[in-house]
Amino acid sequence: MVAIFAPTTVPIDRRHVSRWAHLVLGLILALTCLASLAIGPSGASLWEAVFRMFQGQSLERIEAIVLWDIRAPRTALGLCVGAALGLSGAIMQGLFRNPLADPGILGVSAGASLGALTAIVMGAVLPFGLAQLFGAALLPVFAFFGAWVSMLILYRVATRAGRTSVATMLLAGIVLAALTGAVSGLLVFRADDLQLRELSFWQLGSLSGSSWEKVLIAGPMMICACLFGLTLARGLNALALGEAAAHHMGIRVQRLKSMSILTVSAATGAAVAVSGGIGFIGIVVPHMLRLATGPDHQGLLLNSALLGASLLLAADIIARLLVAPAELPIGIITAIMGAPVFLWILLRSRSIVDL
Amino acid sequence: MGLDVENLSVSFGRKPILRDVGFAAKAGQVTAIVGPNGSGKSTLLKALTGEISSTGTARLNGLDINNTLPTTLADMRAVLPQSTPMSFPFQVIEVVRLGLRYRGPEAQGVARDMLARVGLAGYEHRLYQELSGGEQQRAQLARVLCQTWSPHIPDAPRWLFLDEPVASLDIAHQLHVMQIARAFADQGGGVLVVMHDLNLSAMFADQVLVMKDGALIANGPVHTTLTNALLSDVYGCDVISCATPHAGSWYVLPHLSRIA
Repeated sequence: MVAIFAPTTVPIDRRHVSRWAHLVLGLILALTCLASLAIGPSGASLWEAVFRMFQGQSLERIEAIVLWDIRAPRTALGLCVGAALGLSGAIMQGLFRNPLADPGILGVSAGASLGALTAIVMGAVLPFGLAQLFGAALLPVFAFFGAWVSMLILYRVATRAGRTSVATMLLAGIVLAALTGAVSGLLVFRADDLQLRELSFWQLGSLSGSSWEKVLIAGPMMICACLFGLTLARGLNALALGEAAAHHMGIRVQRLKSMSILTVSAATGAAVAVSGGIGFIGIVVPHMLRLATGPDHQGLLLNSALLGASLLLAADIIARLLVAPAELPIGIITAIMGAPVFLWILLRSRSIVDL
Repeated sequence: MGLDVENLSVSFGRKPILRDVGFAAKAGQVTAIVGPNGSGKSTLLKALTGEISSTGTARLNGLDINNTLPTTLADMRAVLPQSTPMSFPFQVIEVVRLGLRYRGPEAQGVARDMLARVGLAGYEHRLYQELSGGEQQRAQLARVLCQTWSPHIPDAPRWLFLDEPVASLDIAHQLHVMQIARAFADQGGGVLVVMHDLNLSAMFADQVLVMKDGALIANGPVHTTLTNALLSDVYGCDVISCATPHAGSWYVLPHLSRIA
């Protein structure tokens, strides 16, 4: 028998692509961080100052203030928020076995929004001197609290006899979002014009007002959640075969589900609390990566965090420059960048989404 | 060391699905479960994998299935479901690799070997979703074989639980897959397989369990267990089995059967 050797291209092992992507995306992220430190509306470009800072040379007073007190915490916060959103999106999609899932499904956004609204509208009349206790942190604390409460309610509703039904969670999420929306509507009805404006801007998301204080409170939570999230890769891979098959392969499925939900809630809850509603990172980032390096979560999770952070920092730089000295809300930028990209992906590779 | 089942019962709500099933299966043998649709074959398999909870006792290699960690069970047995839809565009080799439980140097090449064993060499980088139903089933079999890549752990046998592994395959691949199961048993592993095809069961199984209405009604070697009377009763249709001049070959022909 004569074998016929057709000229074929050597197929690429996507694991290697994924490993190279770690490196490339890491480099891109480092560059974006530098850019985020150096570029801004303060007039002079600070590239030179950034390089001097890294060489350990002394900075002028004004440079030091802009770099260290304004840009550095903002960059750190953007890094954490972007990584948290990208990674959470990838975990959610793995958990729901659906490439269109995102943390919004867990009621996180709606809950956080209700929390924020409560802080804005009712801040002055809250009991126990809560407003005085938290001061400027009232809004983020309430947003985080709102995100967590809605997530816990959903988790309880969807869990019967020790098993969490992912389908129930999806449906209950829609119901809860409607309910939260109605309560928010009541508060909006009571709000005055200034409060409404504050709320609208919060919902569009922004990194302005970043401070080291915020970084120290929300940063560790997002970092821990991200680090823990990276360990879920093996389980999420098995889950792609279905819950039963994952169990057959030795995965403790219920534990995996609760851990994923807790991780995502901690990461996105903290992210939404400090930055408001920033959409599309969680959906677009994992999706783009899956097209390039395949759906294997072993590499996908880290790559999603890296690319999410880069994209958010880039969006933040644009938000600062576009209408300087004012700032655009960052949610506008991510939606303008994200929506067309997403549509393009849908049109181009419908077969990959229609599963 | 084997699979020992006593008084195993499963009910969904108040409806009993399995009633007091008891049998023993030995490693080194192929044990087939046959019976009509809805007789509880797949439910029995699910109870034995720990996927649904049951009352009574089921022990695999001496360990109570209901009280053993999934990881420990996964070291001892692998399960092939009837069909496995996947949610993301994985390549075939990536699906097979998911079955690997150890990533050491000895695991290198195992995924490729198993893919070749099920006759899918060259399919490594095809998308799983683009395969036909039968090819998907064989790719999943390769994944399952990766999980139990040797038929024994040092001191105990490993097990393959297969749920209708040949239902979507052509005749050549039916034989091929059954030979893989047979070889696994011949090397000392245990195989428990849910079957619809009585002829294939007779060709490859050492022991056959016959289920009807959630109960185990017969258990033993093929030739003595699958009698005309029993089959006719179980399937509600006149089944006539025959023997060829070759010693020990048993078959049924649908031509000779009649709906009662």
